[in-house]
Amino acid sequence: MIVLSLLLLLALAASSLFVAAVLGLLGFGLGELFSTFPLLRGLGEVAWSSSADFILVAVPMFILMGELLLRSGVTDSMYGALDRWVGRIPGGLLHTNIAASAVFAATSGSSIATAATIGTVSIPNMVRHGYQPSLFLGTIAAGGTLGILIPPSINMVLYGALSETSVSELYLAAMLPGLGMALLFSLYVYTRCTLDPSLAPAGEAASWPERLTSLVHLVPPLLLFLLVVGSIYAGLATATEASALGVMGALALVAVRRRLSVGLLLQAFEGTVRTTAMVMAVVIAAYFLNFVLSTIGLTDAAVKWVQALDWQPLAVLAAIIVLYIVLGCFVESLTLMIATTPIIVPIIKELGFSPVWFGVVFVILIEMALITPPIGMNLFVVQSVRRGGAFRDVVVGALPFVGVMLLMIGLLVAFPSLALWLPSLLSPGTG
Amino acid sequence: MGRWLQGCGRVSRWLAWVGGLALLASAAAISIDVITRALWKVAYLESFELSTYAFAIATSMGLSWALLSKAHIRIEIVYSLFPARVRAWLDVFAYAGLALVAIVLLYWCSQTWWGNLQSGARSNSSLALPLKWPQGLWLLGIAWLAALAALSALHGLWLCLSGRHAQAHAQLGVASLQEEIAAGTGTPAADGQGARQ
Repeated sequence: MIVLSLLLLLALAASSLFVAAVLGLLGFGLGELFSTFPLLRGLGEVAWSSSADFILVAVPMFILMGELLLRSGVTDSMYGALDRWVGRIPGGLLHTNIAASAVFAATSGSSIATAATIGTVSIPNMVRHGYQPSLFLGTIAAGGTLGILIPPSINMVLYGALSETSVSELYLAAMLPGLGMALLFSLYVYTRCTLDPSLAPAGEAASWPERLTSLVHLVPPLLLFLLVVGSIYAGLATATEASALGVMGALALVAVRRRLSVGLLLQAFEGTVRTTAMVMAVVIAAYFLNFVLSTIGLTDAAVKWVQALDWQPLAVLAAIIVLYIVLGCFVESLTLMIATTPIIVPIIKELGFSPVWFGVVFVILIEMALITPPIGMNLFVVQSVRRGGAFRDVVVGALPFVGVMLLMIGLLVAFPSLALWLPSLLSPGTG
Repeated sequence: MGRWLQGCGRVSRWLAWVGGLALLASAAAISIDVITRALWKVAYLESFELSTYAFAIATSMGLSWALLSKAHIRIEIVYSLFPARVRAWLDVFAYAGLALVAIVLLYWCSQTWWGNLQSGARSNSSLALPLKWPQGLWLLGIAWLAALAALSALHGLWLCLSGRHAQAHAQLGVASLQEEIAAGTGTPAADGQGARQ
């Protein structure tokens, strides 16, 4: 049954059908083949309950918040301000790229938006100041992936909903690994640039008054982060409610910067509904497929199959990680995450790992998928924002950061408390 | 028939605006509830329930907009290996497959809606809202998707049969990277060079 399902999935996936249709058809087919009940009868109920799920309401909210924020124009001034602080470290703007990605990630739930926004602001500087292209582009592609790790994160909401894990706890768990990864990225850049100063020109020194006055540009993203993440930890709001507060905060930011107009709102609506419908089409189909898989016993069969292997939990975990790295090279990352969460999380729980901890590891694996060739969305985004030059530069520049991500996963396996310490400290209400 | 599809595109865009407005209104209502709950321990607006309806309706109303703006994901590894003519046929096949799934979804969702209409089902909350209203609007969005997917497939089939493969591919093909970036950053599509090498 497992083999047949996998073969069906692969055949359908290769057919270039819409992913939502592939998952739906797979659900119909497996239901017909392996169930004595007419499982299709459950379709209407499954579709409605997943469409009207309060936890998932956070998805369109974070998308809308990002759409508004993009149009508020805060990114340019934020980039300049960060440069005054970190530009002097060997590596110069490379650190600014990483820091700006981390800060932007803290107000955005999407990696593509992060890479495209930071790339648009920073790439003109690469040519002007004579940076070595591949390392520069690598920091943007890799930095951009922080968008889905540093809270708030749309992928975390999806993982939480599909694996029935608290989104608030996931956000807490991702906080330290997210910051840690940004630091490790910077450390890698620092080492490379100290060993070979020709990679990056020395940054211009900023005076202290300049630095202090630049801080004002960091206030808006900081306030927004505090509003969204702070309200969760203060116990004032659930993750979904916090996302709604974030939308109002971003709207206020647009208004304060005198950019609010009907045209801007309509554009933001179009973008939001477009992305929401795209994500939800896959999610609804995955919920139905999940309903079929658990009813025909395939989820249990997969868990039993792993048990029967009689491997050490760590060996199974290593196999899972390798599997995702390979899949991540070829499969679109959102599809990879949504379609496999319902199967992989029961296995992870059975092995005795915490699903919250695995959520962090999983999101890092998905980040890796965004920058591993041949199919790595962030690589394409950076190359496209750059407009010209060899695509190889981006791929070569981003690859070492895959190593840094693997190191972070290694650290999380060796020290699970990196992720689990914060949630245990402040256990918030239900997410 | 092409002009007809353009008119449908305009309707889909309006539906997206309605969906976006519903989401923004939900965000406002949820925020007000969070604030009044923090201050006076009361939430007045029932935003918890209403926002889930807004979400469901915005999603279903947006499905067709996402289809016409080529946002729905297709896995293109094998697809991109084929010559343009085969790709145009694969596009028609993909839209036909989507139409099939959408029609099956529409049928079973309308059964759910009809059942709730007959039994007069209300939401299990203090609002006790008749479910036929939010579910009815949600169903309309799915019906519109099914109609557009089927029409697009037929239109593409007609173009392919009359030898206009390039036109079929332009209308139904996988979005170019420039289109995806433009949608992701809210900027108008630039006519940059092809990025995938």
